[in-house]
Amino acid sequence: MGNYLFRRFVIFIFLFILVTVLCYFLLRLPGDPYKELELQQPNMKDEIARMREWSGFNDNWFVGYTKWAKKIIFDGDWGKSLYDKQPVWGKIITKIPVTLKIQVSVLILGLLLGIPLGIFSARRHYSLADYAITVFSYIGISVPNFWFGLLLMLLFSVNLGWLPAGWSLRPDYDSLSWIMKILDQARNLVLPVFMGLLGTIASLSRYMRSSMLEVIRQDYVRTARSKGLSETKVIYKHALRNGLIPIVTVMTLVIPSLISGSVVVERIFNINGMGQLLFNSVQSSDIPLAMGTLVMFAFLTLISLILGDVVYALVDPRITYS
Amino acid sequence: MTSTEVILDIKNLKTYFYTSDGVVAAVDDVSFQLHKGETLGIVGESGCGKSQTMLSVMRLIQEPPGKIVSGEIHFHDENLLKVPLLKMRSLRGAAISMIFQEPMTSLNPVYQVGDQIAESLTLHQGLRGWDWGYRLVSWGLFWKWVFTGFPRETKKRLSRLKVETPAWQRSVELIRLVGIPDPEKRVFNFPHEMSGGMRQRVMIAMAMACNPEILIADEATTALDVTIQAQILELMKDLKRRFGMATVLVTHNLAVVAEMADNILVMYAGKIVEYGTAAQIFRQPMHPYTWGLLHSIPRVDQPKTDQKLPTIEGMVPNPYNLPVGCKFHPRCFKATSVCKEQEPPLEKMADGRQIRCWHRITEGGN
Amino acid sequence: MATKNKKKKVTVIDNPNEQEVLSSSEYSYIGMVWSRFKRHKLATIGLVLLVFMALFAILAPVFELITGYPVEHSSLAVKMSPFSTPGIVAKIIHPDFGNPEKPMGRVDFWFEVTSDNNPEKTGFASVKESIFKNPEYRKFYDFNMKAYGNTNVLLTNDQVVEKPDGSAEIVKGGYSEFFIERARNKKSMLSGQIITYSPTFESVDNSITEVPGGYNGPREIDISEAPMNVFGTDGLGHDVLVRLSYGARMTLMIAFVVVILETLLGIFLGALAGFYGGFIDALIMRILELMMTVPTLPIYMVLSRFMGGGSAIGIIIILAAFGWTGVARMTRGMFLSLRNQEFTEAARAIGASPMRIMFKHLLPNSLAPIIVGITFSIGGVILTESTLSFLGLGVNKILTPTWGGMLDEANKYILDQPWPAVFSGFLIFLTVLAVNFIGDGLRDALDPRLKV
Repeated sequence: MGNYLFRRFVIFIFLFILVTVLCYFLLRLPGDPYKELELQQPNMKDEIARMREWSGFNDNWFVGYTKWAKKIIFDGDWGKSLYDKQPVWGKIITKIPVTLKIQVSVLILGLLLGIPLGIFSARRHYSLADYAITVFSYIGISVPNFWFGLLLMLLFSVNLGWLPAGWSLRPDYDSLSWIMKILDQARNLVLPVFMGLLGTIASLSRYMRSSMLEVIRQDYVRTARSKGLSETKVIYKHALRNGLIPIVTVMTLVIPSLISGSVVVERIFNINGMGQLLFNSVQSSDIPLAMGTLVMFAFLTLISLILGDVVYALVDPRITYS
Repeated sequence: MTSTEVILDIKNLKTYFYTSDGVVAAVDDVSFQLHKGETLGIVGESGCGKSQTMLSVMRLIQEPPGKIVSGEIHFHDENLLKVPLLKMRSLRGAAISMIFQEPMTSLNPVYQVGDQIAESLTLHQGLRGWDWGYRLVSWGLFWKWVFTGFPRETKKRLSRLKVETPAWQRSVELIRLVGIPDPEKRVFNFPHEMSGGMRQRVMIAMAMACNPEILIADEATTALDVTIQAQILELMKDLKRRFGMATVLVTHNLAVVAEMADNILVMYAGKIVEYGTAAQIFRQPMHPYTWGLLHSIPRVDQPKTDQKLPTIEGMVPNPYNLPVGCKFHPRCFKATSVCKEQEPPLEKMADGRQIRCWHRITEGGN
Repeated sequence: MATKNKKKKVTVIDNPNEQEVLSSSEYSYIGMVWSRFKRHKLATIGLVLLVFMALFAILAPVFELITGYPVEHSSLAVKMSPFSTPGIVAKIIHPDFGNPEKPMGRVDFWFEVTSDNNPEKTGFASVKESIFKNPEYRKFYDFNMKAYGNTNVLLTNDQVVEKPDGSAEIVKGGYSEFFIERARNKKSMLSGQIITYSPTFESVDNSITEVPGGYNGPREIDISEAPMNVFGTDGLGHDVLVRLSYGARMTLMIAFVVVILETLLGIFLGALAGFYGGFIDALIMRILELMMTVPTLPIYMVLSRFMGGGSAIGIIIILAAFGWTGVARMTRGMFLSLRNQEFTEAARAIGASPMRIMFKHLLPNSLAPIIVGITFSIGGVILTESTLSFLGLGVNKILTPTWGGMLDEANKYILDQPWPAVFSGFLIFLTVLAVNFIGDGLRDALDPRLKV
């Protein structure tokens, strides 16, 4: 097990390096984005020249990348934003918590709701309830989430006025007790989380359903029944653990899409998080900031995938020796 | 060995499958009796309903599409088709247990074999097993593993705690009983760490855990190598000698039946076509189908001839569209017009044999 | 998996006779698939929906004709509700209209129109708000007004240009005529409360100067009924129905082209990886893993912003370049399992070239899951493209309507008028749903063993 995790860890370091390569070359591929910026913002010449040097765009590709990567990974120098000249690292670090709050809640709630729904659907295979859940999950994966978010906002904050339309903590937030602080944050989190939740629940329940159906007709489930175990025990002890194994793999697809989704969520609800930061930096051609945010996005994805591997190793005993 | 006491009495069992393409009568009006200590062999081609019959006894037919339409299955005094599910569950694995065909897939890959054997013991005999306690401890240790690696002592300590529980103690005994060497270590193995023959031994250990009265072996040796097959059969014989449970062997392998069975039941297209003692059936098959089955086996004890080996012509009939009259007539070398029109009844003969044929083969062959 | 299914329907699939039954019936494979597909209720719904969408896209010019609102037509009748008519179109023709000796210069007609809903909002104000205060409008909006009916009106091509000091100017003057169609609903305009109107020169510094040649009041006020905006109008006064149908063209076109490209690329790379194995396989799989683990949307955003964004071709290339991974993985898996089977060996034995084995023998056998996979990926591409457009990083939404772009545009005044946003999003949803239903049906129909 330890050995397996170590091996995965090495692979992830390798992947992370590749990701930084990708981020760097993606920005260099189109030519020199700084040039365009120079034309637009003639009064920022000095700043632009400095940051171009920092990004290594003056050197050739290889040297430029190694210089930049060395700064990012070893020196902790993520450059400075072109406009407000604040260090990129600081900007990103302050934006991470709110993004994580939203996406982790989506993930946890999605798992808590999607998996039982999938199991329920699989156990009542071909019943009306199963049919309804299948249709629901198809609707869930087909709804464009930005549209769903807008509809939620229209209904719950504009028409009904129950929840805030954007991230707006109460003005007296700092003087609140900790429990009220949590409640106030939760009030703000409801809509963004709900928006991400629909698609997550839908796809997780669909995968869980097919995975459970696959498992339920396996021979070992019949063996478990022939031992005289109760149906509950057959499902939740013997079938569930096997059914969860493919779900762990599915998580490697869900997590990157959730992290990507933070751009949309934060834009719709005007939340000052990583997604908004990336969007704004891309829109305003703030290249150091865009590079930093992109790398951080990739890094967060990789971290969550490592966690996924840990879970995989926990669930599947066969992994230890393979 | 066979006593006259009937422990399993199946009457007019019908199990149908309702699929989108039509209804399949997998088991169609099957009646037979199993005596205490008897070994019954059920023989037939794949798809003839022999496995479904025994799954019906366990009430493990998948529903839908399957359904036990009618019939009675008496186990001692109870009709198994009428008893509540709770009661049925307490019989499954305790009084009646079953071994399945695929040892590769019949064991749950994510649990240690000891766990899977102990589970049955905990359930039916109330022996204390190791469940939540083990999990909590192991989960608590999880992070320690991640950072420091998994120390040998901890693993050993966990294993010792586990194996000290009565259910695990008994598991070790059972694994020893089925002839797996080094059972104290093997209980902790996961199924993927064992060979096919060993997994089938574990399956047998699981089935024998609560000293069942009836052991059903559903193609138990089919998926194994010939040498392993022989070992497993030897093991089953040995267990039978020691514990005396009634055994049902469901197989298409006549050699297995010849070696083990007291009585033989031949099935074709969901129906019983012939029933008799092993000696009767092997010495003088009366149904053309049985005759065909027996004569299509190449024999080494007879001189080699130039004659072609006799085979049963044709294919297993389409279950959605069974022939009218005798189900076997399209393939039968003795078929006449009466076979095409009327289905023969299952006749009981004086010596206890049963046969379903208009033109039974009498002494001296065809 | 195969054996397991066989076990479940013991008597059904295990039966060698089945082959006979199938081949003896007159159904071909395609016919069989179609008959199974037809039995799938959701898939049939999906197919109907998709055909409907395709018609909706194809018939875009017809909608233009029927409704009388060309796609580039925009008017001051902004943000109207569905099923409303701009109603009364007040056509005010300047006295000097048509007189070449008296050029009017930059003439603007300002109306004050009260609306029943909002007396504060006058026609004047709406002109101000919708044109002069909206920076995007200032940049891109090209007045291109057409008249309704057969009255003697003219087209103008005045362009609003942003000046360095932030004010706006209409250049390329000539005759101009404004249709005041400002109304939230029919009623408010029917009551026709045009209170005052005053043709003025608007100079650059916004001071109002006198009309040369004097002005004696309106010569003609023609009031006629304009056709209905079935889905209302958007913030720039476009007819939403017409624009949605052009949006359907763009969105569906992008989705299908992307899927075709990524399928070709994915099959090619997946086939190479699966057939040759070894180093090629390892290389392609590592690239694939990398692409699947990085969050794609940020990358699309960066690429779209810094290269090729704004044009449909750019978006197509970006999406296809990252989208081939799914197809490639599937093809590879199928090829890996098929390449050691007897028929491949046989083909090899008779000396078929690798290309021939790959595309003549292996590909047709692995097509079923690939077709299912790419059907599902159409939906994914539509969603991704719409998301990019919604973020303002897709196809230029002013020049070319796409559903995502329209939603982004509508989002700006969603509190005022939610309908355009609701419609464009709903069409995206319906199309993706249709495609997914079809994918579900295809999976069941093409290969019943895949059925779950």
